[in-house]
Amino acid sequence: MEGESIKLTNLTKSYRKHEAAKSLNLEVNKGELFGFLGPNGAGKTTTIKMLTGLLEPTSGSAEINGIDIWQHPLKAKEKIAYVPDQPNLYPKLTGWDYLEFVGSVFRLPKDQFQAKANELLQIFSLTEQANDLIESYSHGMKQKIAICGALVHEPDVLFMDEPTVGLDPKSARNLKNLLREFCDNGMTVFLSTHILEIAEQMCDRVGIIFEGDIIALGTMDELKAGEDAEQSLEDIFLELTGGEDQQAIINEMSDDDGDAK
Amino acid sequence: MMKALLRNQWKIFINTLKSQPGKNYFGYFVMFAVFGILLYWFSAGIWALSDVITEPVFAGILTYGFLIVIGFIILLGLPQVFKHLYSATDLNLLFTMPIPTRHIFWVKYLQSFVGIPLLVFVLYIVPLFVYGAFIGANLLYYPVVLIVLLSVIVIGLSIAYLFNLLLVQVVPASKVNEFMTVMSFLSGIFVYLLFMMPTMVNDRPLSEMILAGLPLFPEWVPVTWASDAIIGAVSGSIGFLLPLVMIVVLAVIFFILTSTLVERGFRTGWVKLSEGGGKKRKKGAVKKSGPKLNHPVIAVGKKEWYAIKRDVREWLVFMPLIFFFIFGFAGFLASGGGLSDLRGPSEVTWPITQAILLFIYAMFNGQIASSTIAREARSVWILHILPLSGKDIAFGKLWISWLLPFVILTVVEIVIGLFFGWSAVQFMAGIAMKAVITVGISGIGMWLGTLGAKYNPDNPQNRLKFGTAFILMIASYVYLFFALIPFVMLLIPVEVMDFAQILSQDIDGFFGSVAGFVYTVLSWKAASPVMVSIAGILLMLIFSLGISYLFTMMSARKIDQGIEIEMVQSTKSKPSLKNRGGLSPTMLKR
Repeated sequence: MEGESIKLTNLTKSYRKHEAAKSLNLEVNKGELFGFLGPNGAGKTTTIKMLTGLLEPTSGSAEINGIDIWQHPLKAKEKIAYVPDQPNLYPKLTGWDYLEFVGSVFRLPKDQFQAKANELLQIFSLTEQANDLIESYSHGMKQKIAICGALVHEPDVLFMDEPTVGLDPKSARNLKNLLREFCDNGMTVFLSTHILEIAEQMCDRVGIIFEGDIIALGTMDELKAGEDAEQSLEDIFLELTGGEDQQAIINEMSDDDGDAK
Repeated sequence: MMKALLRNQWKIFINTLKSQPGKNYFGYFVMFAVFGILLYWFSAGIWALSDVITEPVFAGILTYGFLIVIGFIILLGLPQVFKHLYSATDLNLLFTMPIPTRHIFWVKYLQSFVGIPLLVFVLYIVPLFVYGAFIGANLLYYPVVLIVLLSVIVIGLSIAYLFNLLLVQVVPASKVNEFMTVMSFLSGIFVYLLFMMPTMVNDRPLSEMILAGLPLFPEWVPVTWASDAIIGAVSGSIGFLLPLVMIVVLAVIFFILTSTLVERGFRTGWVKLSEGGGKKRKKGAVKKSGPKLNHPVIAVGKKEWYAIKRDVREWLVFMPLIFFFIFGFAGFLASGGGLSDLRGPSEVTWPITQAILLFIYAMFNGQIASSTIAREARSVWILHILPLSGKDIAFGKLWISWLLPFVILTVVEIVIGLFFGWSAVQFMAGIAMKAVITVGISGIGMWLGTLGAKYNPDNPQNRLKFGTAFILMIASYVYLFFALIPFVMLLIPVEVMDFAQILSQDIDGFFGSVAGFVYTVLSWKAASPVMVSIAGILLMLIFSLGISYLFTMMSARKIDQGIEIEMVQSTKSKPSLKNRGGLSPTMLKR
């Protein structure tokens, strides 16, 4: 892994008095699979949207391969792909039409497009449904075709918001393997997830965001080094984000119930 | 069970009222005030005209009036009935509860009275009572009017229900989105035929028949019973009883017929529509012909084309065209005109047709171009994320929104031209002129689309804010006026020069200046016709293409800066007790 693929410098997003992202500083290296964790409303999606050009930062900068996405959006967007948690795609396009559209926009050579598109459709078991309209797809199928669209042009940096939600176990496993393989071949993946197991198993590094601040950052070993070595990522996450307090209350309630019986 | 359901509906109604934003109350007040004033004028008109309305004329008015009631309720009530039967959000819950389907249906049926039927009821009952008071009708008149009107409304509403309940069994679930369009189209034709019935069954025009006091329909037609019952009740004669009983019995039969279809048409229909079963699944794997990758501008237009081609609702924009041509033509033939009457010298038919077609282009092009922006709706993130400039997107949307009406109307023009026997030059000149001029309208439309885009999930074809749509309509015609000046000058013969000179000397002000301008151009044209023709064509090209380029670039800039698509929530009331007005914007920002 060498060179920064993603660089956040004092990246801030404010909504009046509320700061959804507080002066974030972060670097993700090329070929790294980075997991971005945080409880609901912590600022994960806000950050991803600022990194993908969907939400303008209040201040600070976001760079993709050294290109500021807000200064040179088109250049930066040539390098990235994004899969949102709720992929609203064009309902009246077939899966194949959608991939062709993405291929046209990225001006892919026909042979390369066909080979890659067919390969992805096969990996995600969509070959048979490729000529169906997207409106007929289930949520998981929409998610899969959105992932195919994101990968068909082999982006340098892939942003994924809760990528495994809605996927069947086989597709989720395929995606995990595929992401690992892509990262080993130099692609950078920045994914947000609630499923800590995924982050623990797959990610090279993990960042935890809480109330707009990155409160922890490092490899799994680095995170554990500061805590009890036996702790899981879930324990660390709950401890850092205050979930332990709730857990204590739940435990207390359970104990009370037990006593009452 | 019915009681619980009705009480629930009542609570929903009260809570909806309570949770309305303040401006909505003002809106309702204005609406009621306008409605009240209209009703007052209508009643005052009836009062003033009452003494010239003889009994046979009144019978004719009633007969046709009741036909209109049925027609309006079918036409305007259909979407309302559809909403109550199949897209009401509470059905998901109600069908999982131990409530007989029939009870749910009856509550929905009662709910349907609020809306178009209620409006029609008030619009009819007040003037009819005013008329009764003026002519000093027998006391029987008032309850008979009430019963007859309610029966006619029940008949109309039941037909609307039957339409829904029957069609839902025929239309495949994969066509759910298109269901309403198909239904509106069929009901449009049905109602058109209904309104045309008096003209078709009689040889004389409808107005003549009514004024002459002649019966519009034979005695066995139900609207005649309704009319007969009221006429009989005016004088208090017992003759009102039989037609009254007949119309009431018919209403009951319609109601029973409707409720027999509840189980199959309502519950299973709802299940069928909710499943949306396997939409348009074409069998077969990936296309064998290989991928068709295009330039991004073409790709953007192509995806717009797929969205239009594959959704019947998108074609609704052309509905006025169908009504304009087909019904206008049918009406002309029905009124005794012949095809040969339409033919005339091509010097006359050609410019008239061009004017009509340009009028239609002005209506469609801007609308189609503007709607390409809001069509993105929830898929807008895809264009955000792709490396597409605003220019790529704007030109991609421009070419398809210009080409589509151009192809359709050119086909129409060719058919018309062949019928009239135009020359090849006339064909080419007309098509080329419109090709150039209309691209400007598309450019303006797109720019306005970037300013006032709106997406309403309940009405996905309504893609422009009201104010913007209004400005678009005016802007299209203003543009057309200026863009056509060079073309019109090319058409005006030089022989008109002297007349224009006289006019310019005799008239002052704006019209005098116009005549002076015409005279000057014609004198140039007389001196060097070829040069003026070339200059005129060049001017038209520069103006039209220039406007188109300018507005498309302005659209591109707006897309780069960020477009706000107003996302209208499906409910017009506040979702809870606090809200900022039911709109959530979506930004298309680069």
